[in-house]
Amino acid sequence: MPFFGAPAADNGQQPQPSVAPSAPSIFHTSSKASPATVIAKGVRLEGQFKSQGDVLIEGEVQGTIQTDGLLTVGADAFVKATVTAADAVVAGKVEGNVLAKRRLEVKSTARVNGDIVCETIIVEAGAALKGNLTSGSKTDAKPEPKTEAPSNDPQKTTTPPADAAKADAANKT
Amino acid sequence: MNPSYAFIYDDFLTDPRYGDAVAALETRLATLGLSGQIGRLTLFRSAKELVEHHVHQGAKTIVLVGNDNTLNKVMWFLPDLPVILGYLPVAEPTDIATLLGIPPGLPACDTLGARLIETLDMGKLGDRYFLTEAVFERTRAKLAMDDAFTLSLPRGGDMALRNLGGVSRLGQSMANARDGLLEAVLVPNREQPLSTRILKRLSLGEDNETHVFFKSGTIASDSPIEGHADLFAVSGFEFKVSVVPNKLRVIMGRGRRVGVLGNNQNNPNHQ
Repeated sequence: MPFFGAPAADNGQQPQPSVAPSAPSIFHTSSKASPATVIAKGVRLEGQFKSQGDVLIEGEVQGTIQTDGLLTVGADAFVKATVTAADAVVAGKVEGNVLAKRRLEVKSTARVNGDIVCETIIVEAGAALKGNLTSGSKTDAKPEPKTEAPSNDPQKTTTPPADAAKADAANKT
Repeated sequence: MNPSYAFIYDDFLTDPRYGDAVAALETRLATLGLSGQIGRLTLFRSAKELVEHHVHQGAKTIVLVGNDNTLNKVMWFLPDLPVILGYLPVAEPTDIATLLGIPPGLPACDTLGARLIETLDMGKLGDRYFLTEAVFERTRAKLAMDDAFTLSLPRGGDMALRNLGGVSRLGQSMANARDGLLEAVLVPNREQPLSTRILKRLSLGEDNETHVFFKSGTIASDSPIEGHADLFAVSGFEFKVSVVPNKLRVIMGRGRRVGVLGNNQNNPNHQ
Protein backbone atom coordinates (compact mmCIF):
# COMPACT_ATOMS: atom_id res chain seq x y z
CA MET A 1 0.00 0.00 0.00
CA PRO A 2 1.59 3.31 -1.04
CA PHE A 3 0.86 4.88 2.29
CA PHE A 4 3.80 7.19 2.64
CA GLY A 5 3.10 9.00 -0.57
CA ALA A 6 -0.57 9.58 0.23
CA PRO A 7 -1.75 13.08 1.15
CA ALA A 8 -2.24 13.72 4.84
CA ALA A 9 -5.92 14.58 4.46
CA ASP A 10 -6.85 11.34 2.73
CA ASN A 11 -7.23 9.31 5.89
CA GLY A 12 -10.96 9.14 6.38
CA GLN A 13 -10.87 7.34 9.73
CA GLN A 14 -8.91 10.06 11.44
CA PRO A 15 -10.54 12.98 13.24
CA GLN A 16 -11.00 16.07 11.13
CA PRO A 17 -7.80 18.05 11.32
CA SER A 18 -8.16 21.47 12.82
CA VAL A 19 -5.18 22.66 10.78
CA ALA A 20 -5.43 22.75 7.04
CA PRO A 21 -3.27 20.03 5.49
CA SER A 22 -1.95 22.58 3.06
CA ALA A 23 -0.30 24.52 5.90
CA PRO A 24 3.27 25.38 5.02
CA SER A 25 5.94 22.94 6.03
CA ILE A 26 7.68 23.64 9.28
CA PHE A 27 10.92 22.69 7.61
CA HIS A 28 12.64 25.11 5.35
CA THR A 29 13.39 23.65 1.94
CA SER A 30 16.24 25.58 0.45
CA SER A 31 15.71 26.04 -3.23
CA LYS A 32 18.13 28.86 -3.82
CA ALA A 33 21.41 27.34 -2.74
CA SER A 34 22.87 24.31 -1.07
CA PRO A 35 24.07 24.68 2.48
CA ALA A 36 27.66 25.69 3.01
CA THR A 37 30.28 22.99 3.20
CA VAL A 38 33.13 23.40 5.67
CA ILE A 39 36.33 21.36 5.71
CA ALA A 40 37.86 22.35 9.03
CA LYS A 41 41.43 22.13 10.20
CA GLY A 42 42.46 18.59 11.07
CA VAL A 43 40.27 17.00 8.39
CA ARG A 44 41.47 15.62 5.07
CA LEU A 45 39.31 15.32 1.96
CA GLU A 46 40.49 13.14 -0.92
CA GLY A 47 38.75 12.66 -4.26
CA GLN A 48 36.39 14.57 -6.49
CA PHE A 49 34.31 17.00 -4.52
CA LYS A 50 31.39 18.83 -6.16
CA SER A 51 29.10 21.33 -4.51
CA GLN A 52 26.46 23.79 -5.53
CA GLY A 53 26.88 25.98 -2.47
CA ASP A 54 29.69 27.83 -0.79
CA VAL A 55 32.73 25.89 0.35
CA LEU A 56 35.16 26.84 3.10
CA ILE A 57 38.41 24.90 3.34
CA GLU A 58 40.64 25.16 6.37
CA GLY A 59 41.96 21.62 6.28
CA GLU A 60 43.61 19.49 3.64
CA VAL A 61 42.19 18.63 0.22
CA GLN A 62 43.58 16.40 -2.54
CA GLY A 63 41.87 15.77 -5.87
CA THR A 64 39.46 18.17 -7.51
CA ILE A 65 37.09 20.76 -6.12
CA GLN A 66 34.20 22.11 -8.10
CA THR A 67 31.58 24.50 -6.80
CA ASP A 68 29.01 26.86 -8.22
CA GLY A 69 29.37 29.14 -5.24
CA LEU A 70 32.13 30.87 -3.34
CA LEU A 71 35.23 28.84 -2.52
CA THR A 72 37.32 30.09 0.38
CA VAL A 73 40.72 28.59 1.09
CA GLY A 74 41.73 29.56 4.62
CA ALA A 75 45.19 30.66 5.65
CA ASP A 76 46.10 27.29 7.17
CA ALA A 77 44.56 25.22 4.41
CA PHE A 78 46.52 23.07 1.99
CA VAL A 79 44.82 22.32 -1.30
CA LYS A 80 46.52 19.99 -3.75
CA ALA A 81 43.78 19.96 -6.32
CA THR A 82 42.35 21.38 -9.47
CA VAL A 83 39.96 24.06 -8.33
CA THR A 84 36.89 25.35 -10.17
CA ALA A 85 34.57 27.89 -8.57
CA ALA A 86 32.31 30.78 -9.44
CA ASP A 87 34.20 33.04 -7.03
CA ALA A 88 37.22 32.21 -4.94
CA VAL A 89 39.18 33.69 -2.07
CA VAL A 90 42.56 32.10 -1.51
CA ALA A 91 44.52 32.74 1.67
CA GLY A 92 46.28 29.40 2.01
CA LYS A 93 48.45 27.10 -0.06
CA VAL A 94 47.13 25.82 -3.39
CA GLU A 95 49.01 23.40 -5.62
CA GLY A 96 47.02 23.03 -8.81
CA ASN A 97 45.21 25.03 -11.42
CA VAL A 98 42.58 27.51 -10.32
CA LEU A 99 39.60 28.50 -12.44
CA ALA A 100 37.38 31.24 -11.03
CA LYS A 101 34.52 31.98 -13.37
CA ARG A 102 34.06 35.47 -12.00
CA ARG A 103 36.34 36.82 -9.33
CA LEU A 104 39.46 35.57 -7.61
CA GLU A 105 40.87 37.22 -4.53
CA VAL A 106 44.38 36.23 -3.51
CA LYS A 107 45.25 37.22 0.03
CA SER A 108 48.71 38.18 1.25
CA THR A 109 49.21 34.81 2.95
CA ALA A 110 48.37 32.84 -0.19
CA ARG A 111 50.79 30.56 -2.02
CA VAL A 112 49.46 29.43 -5.39
CA ASN A 113 51.49 27.02 -7.51
CA GLY A 114 49.55 26.51 -10.71
CA ASP A 115 47.83 28.24 -13.59
CA ILE A 116 45.08 30.72 -12.85
CA VAL A 117 42.17 31.60 -15.09
CA CYS A 118 39.62 34.15 -13.92
CA GLU A 119 37.59 37.10 -15.06
CA THR A 120 38.73 39.47 -12.33
CA ILE A 121 41.66 39.05 -9.99
CA ILE A 122 42.68 40.92 -6.88
CA VAL A 123 46.12 40.16 -5.47
CA GLU A 124 47.26 41.47 -2.13
CA ALA A 125 50.88 42.44 -1.55
CA GLY A 126 52.84 39.48 -0.25
CA ALA A 127 50.95 36.79 -2.11
CA ALA A 128 53.10 34.28 -4.00
CA LEU A 129 51.94 33.11 -7.43
CA LYS A 130 53.78 30.64 -9.65
CA GLY A 131 52.17 29.79 -12.97
CA ASN A 132 50.33 31.32 -15.91
CA LEU A 133 47.68 33.92 -15.28
CA THR A 134 44.79 34.59 -17.64
CA SER A 135 42.24 37.19 -16.62
CA GLY A 136 40.00 39.89 -17.99
CA SER A 137 37.77 37.79 -20.22
CA LYS A 138 35.02 35.25 -19.92
CA THR A 139 36.49 32.08 -18.54
CA ASP A 140 34.94 29.21 -20.41
CA ALA A 141 38.11 27.19 -20.90
CA LYS A 142 39.94 25.31 -18.23
CA PRO A 143 43.47 26.45 -17.47
CA GLU A 144 45.89 24.63 -19.72
CA PRO A 145 49.25 23.30 -18.65
CA LYS A 146 52.29 25.11 -19.92
CA THR A 147 52.45 25.10 -23.76
CA GLU A 148 55.19 23.04 -25.30
CA ALA A 149 58.06 24.70 -27.18
CA PRO A 150 57.66 24.66 -30.99
CA SER A 151 59.12 21.50 -32.45
CA ASN A 152 61.63 21.38 -35.31
CA ASP A 153 60.06 18.22 -36.67
CA PRO A 154 58.50 19.21 -40.04
CA GLN A 155 55.79 16.56 -39.70
CA LYS A 156 54.58 18.12 -36.49
CA THR A 157 54.51 21.72 -37.69
CA THR A 158 51.07 23.00 -38.52
CA THR A 159 50.18 25.64 -41.07
CA PRO A 160 47.79 28.42 -40.13
CA PRO A 161 44.53 28.25 -42.13
CA ALA A 162 45.17 31.55 -43.96
CA ASP A 163 48.62 30.42 -45.10
CA ALA A 164 47.24 27.09 -46.16
CA ALA A 165 44.64 28.80 -48.37
CA LYS A 166 47.34 30.92 -50.00
CA ALA A 167 49.43 27.82 -50.67
CA ASP A 168 46.45 26.07 -52.28
CA ALA A 169 45.84 29.04 -54.56
CA ALA A 170 49.48 29.13 -55.61
CA ASN A 171 49.43 25.41 -56.40
CA LYS A 172 46.32 25.83 -58.58
CA THR A 173 47.95 28.61 -60.63
CA MET B 1 -12.61 4.80 21.20
CA ASN B 2 -10.93 5.51 17.91
CA PRO B 3 -9.39 2.21 16.72
CA SER B 4 -7.11 3.96 14.25
CA TYR B 5 -5.08 5.30 17.18
CA ALA B 6 -2.75 3.13 19.25
CA PHE B 7 -0.99 4.61 22.26
CA ILE B 8 2.26 2.92 23.26
CA TYR B 9 3.24 3.72 26.84
CA ASP B 10 6.83 3.42 27.95
CA ASP B 11 7.43 1.17 30.93
CA PHE B 12 8.73 3.97 33.17
CA LEU B 13 5.23 5.46 33.20
CA THR B 14 4.16 2.72 35.60
CA ASP B 15 6.07 4.66 38.25
CA PRO B 16 3.46 6.21 40.59
CA ARG B 17 4.93 9.69 40.21
CA TYR B 18 3.73 9.77 36.61
CA GLY B 19 0.25 8.57 37.53
CA ASP B 20 -1.34 12.01 37.65
CA ALA B 21 0.30 13.15 34.43
CA VAL B 22 -0.84 10.06 32.53
CA ALA B 23 -4.37 10.35 33.93
CA ALA B 24 -4.54 13.98 32.84
CA LEU B 25 -3.31 13.03 29.38
CA GLU B 26 -5.93 10.33 29.02
CA THR B 27 -8.68 12.69 30.10
CA ARG B 28 -7.55 15.29 27.59
CA LEU B 29 -7.33 12.70 24.81
CA ALA B 30 -10.84 11.48 25.60
CA THR B 31 -12.08 15.06 25.44
CA LEU B 32 -10.52 15.45 22.00
CA GLY B 33 -11.94 12.13 20.84
CA LEU B 34 -8.51 10.65 20.37
CA SER B 35 -8.66 7.72 22.75
CA GLY B 36 -7.52 4.50 21.15
CA GLN B 37 -5.89 1.16 21.71
CA ILE B 38 -3.30 1.03 24.47
CA GLY B 39 -0.10 -0.98 24.60
CA ARG B 40 2.63 -0.94 27.21
CA LEU B 41 6.31 -1.48 26.64
CA THR B 42 7.91 -3.73 29.21
CA LEU B 43 11.40 -4.95 29.80
CA PHE B 44 10.97 -8.37 28.20
CA ARG B 45 8.47 -7.43 25.53
CA SER B 46 9.57 -6.66 21.99
CA ALA B 47 8.59 -3.15 20.99
CA LYS B 48 8.46 -4.27 17.36
CA GLU B 49 6.02 -7.09 18.07
CA LEU B 50 3.85 -4.81 20.19
CA VAL B 51 3.61 -2.11 17.54
CA GLU B 52 3.05 -4.60 14.74
CA HIS B 53 0.27 -6.19 16.77
CA HIS B 54 -1.55 -2.85 16.98
CA VAL B 55 -0.99 -2.20 13.27
CA HIS B 56 -2.63 -5.56 12.53
CA GLN B 57 -5.51 -4.50 14.78
CA GLY B 58 -6.11 -1.53 12.48
CA ALA B 59 -4.04 1.23 14.01
CA LYS B 60 -3.08 3.91 11.52
CA THR B 61 -1.49 6.28 14.00
CA ILE B 62 1.00 5.05 16.56
CA VAL B 63 1.34 7.52 19.42
CA LEU B 64 4.31 7.07 21.72
CA VAL B 65 3.86 8.22 25.28
CA GLY B 66 7.06 8.71 27.24
CA ASN B 67 10.23 10.57 26.33
CA ASP B 68 12.88 10.66 23.58
CA ASN B 69 14.14 7.25 24.66
CA THR B 70 10.69 5.84 23.91
CA LEU B 71 11.07 7.14 20.37
CA ASN B 72 14.43 5.47 20.08
CA LYS B 73 12.91 2.12 21.04
CA VAL B 74 10.69 2.08 17.96
CA MET B 75 12.39 4.35 15.47
CA TRP B 76 14.63 1.64 14.03
CA PHE B 77 11.69 -0.31 12.55
CA LEU B 78 8.72 2.10 12.50
CA PRO B 79 9.46 3.71 9.10
CA ASP B 80 8.74 0.40 7.36
CA LEU B 81 5.21 0.23 8.81
CA PRO B 82 2.25 1.99 7.15
CA VAL B 83 1.56 4.27 10.08
CA ILE B 84 1.78 7.88 11.14
CA LEU B 85 3.87 8.61 14.22
CA GLY B 86 2.54 10.71 17.05
CA TYR B 87 4.46 11.60 20.19
CA LEU B 88 3.33 12.71 23.64
CA PRO B 89 6.41 13.66 25.68
CA VAL B 90 5.75 13.26 29.37
CA ALA B 91 9.25 13.31 30.86
CA GLU B 92 12.78 14.44 30.04
CA PRO B 93 14.65 14.16 27.73
CA THR B 94 12.45 15.90 25.19
CA ASP B 95 15.02 17.27 22.75
CA ILE B 96 13.51 15.45 19.79
CA ALA B 97 10.07 16.65 20.81
CA THR B 98 11.39 20.19 20.74
CA LEU B 99 12.78 19.67 17.26
CA LEU B 100 9.42 18.33 16.15
CA GLY B 101 7.61 21.25 17.74
CA ILE B 102 5.75 19.11 20.25
CA PRO B 103 5.36 20.69 23.69
CA PRO B 104 5.74 18.44 26.73
CA GLY B 105 2.75 17.44 28.80
CA LEU B 106 -0.90 18.19 28.14
CA PRO B 107 -0.42 20.67 25.25
CA ALA B 108 1.01 17.78 23.23
CA CYS B 109 -2.54 16.37 23.04
CA ASP B 110 -3.66 19.47 21.16
CA THR B 111 -0.72 19.07 18.77
CA LEU B 112 -1.80 15.49 18.21
CA GLY B 113 -5.36 16.60 17.53
CA ALA B 114 -4.21 19.25 15.07
CA ARG B 115 -2.64 16.51 12.92
CA LEU B 116 -0.09 18.63 11.13
CA ILE B 117 1.62 15.80 9.32
CA GLU B 118 5.10 16.10 7.87
CA THR B 119 7.05 13.49 5.96
CA LEU B 120 10.65 13.23 7.06
CA ASP B 121 13.77 11.60 5.71
CA MET B 122 15.29 8.81 7.75
CA GLY B 123 18.94 7.99 8.06
CA LYS B 124 20.00 4.39 7.72
CA LEU B 125 23.07 2.89 9.32
CA GLY B 126 23.46 -0.66 8.10
CA ASP B 127 19.91 -1.98 8.24
CA ARG B 128 18.83 0.24 11.15
CA TYR B 129 16.94 3.50 10.73
CA PHE B 130 17.76 6.59 12.74
CA LEU B 131 15.89 9.87 12.98
CA THR B 132 18.39 12.23 14.53
CA GLU B 133 22.03 11.17 14.23
CA ALA B 134 24.60 8.41 14.31
CA VAL B 135 27.63 9.32 16.38
CA PHE B 136 31.12 7.82 16.50
CA GLU B 137 33.38 9.29 19.13
CA ARG B 138 37.17 9.25 19.23
CA THR B 139 37.51 7.47 15.93
CA ARG B 140 40.00 7.38 13.08
CA ALA B 141 37.49 5.90 10.67
CA LYS B 142 37.29 7.13 7.09
CA LEU B 143 34.02 8.23 5.58
CA ALA B 144 33.72 7.56 1.84
CA MET B 145 30.88 9.64 0.41
CA ASP B 146 28.76 9.26 -2.70
CA ASP B 147 31.51 7.17 -4.37
CA ALA B 148 33.37 10.40 -5.04
CA PHE B 149 35.49 11.49 -2.13
CA THR B 150 36.74 10.47 1.28
CA LEU B 151 36.84 12.38 4.54
CA SER B 152 39.28 11.35 7.21
CA LEU B 153 40.55 12.52 10.56
CA PRO B 154 44.32 11.93 10.50
CA ARG B 155 44.65 12.69 14.21
CA GLY B 156 41.31 11.17 15.16
CA GLY B 157 38.21 12.89 16.39
CA ASP B 158 34.45 12.68 16.63
CA MET B 159 32.12 11.99 13.75
CA ALA B 160 28.36 12.54 13.63
CA LEU B 161 26.03 11.78 10.75
CA ARG B 162 22.94 13.90 11.18
CA ASN B 163 19.53 13.60 9.67
CA LEU B 164 17.66 15.94 11.98
CA GLY B 165 18.79 18.43 14.56
CA GLY B 166 22.05 20.01 15.46
CA VAL B 167 22.31 23.72 16.07
CA SER B 168 25.12 25.98 14.96
CA ARG B 169 26.64 28.74 17.06
CA LEU B 170 24.53 31.22 15.14
CA GLY B 171 21.38 29.43 16.21
CA GLN B 172 20.75 27.87 12.83
CA SER B 173 19.73 24.28 12.65
CA MET B 174 22.28 22.33 10.66
CA ALA B 175 20.48 19.24 9.48
CA ASN B 176 17.18 19.44 7.68
CA ALA B 177 15.27 16.16 7.65
CA ARG B 178 13.52 17.04 4.40
CA ASP B 179 16.40 17.85 2.11
CA GLY B 180 17.23 14.29 1.07
CA LEU B 181 20.70 14.62 2.51
CA LEU B 182 22.64 13.62 5.58
CA GLU B 183 25.11 15.97 7.17
CA ALA B 184 28.50 14.71 8.26
CA VAL B 185 29.94 16.68 11.16
CA LEU B 186 33.57 15.95 11.99
CA VAL B 187 35.41 17.41 14.95
CA PRO B 188 39.11 16.56 15.02
CA ASN B 189 41.02 15.98 18.21
CA ARG B 190 43.19 18.85 19.27
CA GLU B 191 46.63 18.40 20.71
CA GLN B 192 47.26 21.30 23.05
CA PRO B 193 49.49 21.83 26.04
CA LEU B 194 47.47 21.31 29.17
CA SER B 195 48.25 24.77 30.45
CA THR B 196 46.69 26.52 27.48
CA ARG B 197 43.78 24.19 26.94
CA ILE B 198 41.33 25.92 29.26
CA LEU B 199 42.48 29.41 28.38
CA LYS B 200 42.08 28.76 24.69
CA ARG B 201 38.66 27.32 25.16
CA LEU B 202 37.63 30.40 27.09
CA SER B 203 39.14 32.94 24.74
CA LEU B 204 38.74 31.49 21.28
CA GLY B 205 35.51 29.61 21.24
CA GLU B 206 36.20 28.91 17.58
CA ASP B 207 34.16 26.52 15.57
CA ASN B 208 36.29 23.63 14.39
CA GLU B 209 33.56 21.53 12.87
CA THR B 210 33.60 20.14 9.38
CA HIS B 211 30.21 20.07 7.68
CA VAL B 212 29.66 18.08 4.49
CA PHE B 213 26.34 17.01 2.99
CA PHE B 214 25.90 13.67 1.25
CA LYS B 215 23.40 10.99 0.30
CA SER B 216 25.21 7.75 0.93
CA GLY B 217 28.55 6.57 2.11
CA THR B 218 30.60 4.04 3.97
CA ILE B 219 32.36 4.36 7.30
CA ALA B 220 35.32 2.04 7.53
CA SER B 221 38.23 1.53 9.85
CA ASP B 222 40.97 -1.00 10.47
CA SER B 223 40.04 -1.11 14.13
CA PRO B 224 36.53 -1.71 15.47
CA ILE B 225 34.27 1.33 15.45
CA GLU B 226 31.81 1.89 18.25
CA GLY B 227 29.03 4.39 18.15
CA HIS B 228 25.32 4.86 18.52
CA ALA B 229 22.45 5.67 16.21
CA ASP B 230 19.54 7.34 18.03
CA LEU B 231 21.09 6.09 21.29
CA PHE B 232 21.25 2.49 20.01
CA ALA B 233 24.79 1.15 20.35
CA VAL B 234 26.45 -0.17 17.20
CA SER B 235 29.85 -1.75 16.69
CA GLY B 236 31.77 -3.05 13.69
CA PHE B 237 34.53 -2.43 11.17
CA GLU B 238 32.40 -1.02 8.38
CA PHE B 239 28.95 0.56 8.11
CA LYS B 240 26.98 1.67 5.12
CA VAL B 241 25.11 4.88 5.80
CA SER B 242 22.50 6.52 3.65
CA VAL B 243 19.44 8.72 3.71
CA VAL B 244 15.99 7.37 2.84
CA PRO B 245 13.96 10.36 1.65
CA ASN B 246 10.33 10.86 2.68
CA LYS B 247 10.18 7.74 4.80
CA LEU B 248 8.45 8.66 8.06
CA ARG B 249 5.18 10.52 8.54
CA VAL B 250 5.08 12.40 11.81
CA ILE B 251 2.52 14.60 13.53
CA MET B 252 4.30 17.79 14.46
CA GLY B 253 3.64 21.09 16.14
CA ARG B 254 3.45 24.37 14.36
CA GLY B 255 5.32 26.25 17.05
CA ARG B 256 8.77 25.11 16.00
CA ARG B 257 8.62 26.45 12.51
CA VAL B 258 11.10 29.12 13.50
CA GLY B 259 12.92 27.01 16.04
CA VAL B 260 13.86 24.19 13.72
CA LEU B 261 15.56 26.01 10.92
CA GLY B 262 15.62 29.58 12.03
CA ASN B 263 16.82 31.57 14.95
CA ASN B 264 16.75 29.38 18.05
CA GLN B 265 17.68 32.09 20.48
CA ASN B 266 14.20 32.04 21.98
CA ASN B 267 14.31 28.32 22.44
CA PRO B 268 15.79 27.43 25.81
CA ASN B 269 16.32 23.82 24.81
CA HIS B 270 18.80 24.81 22.12
CA GLN B 271 21.98 26.00 23.71
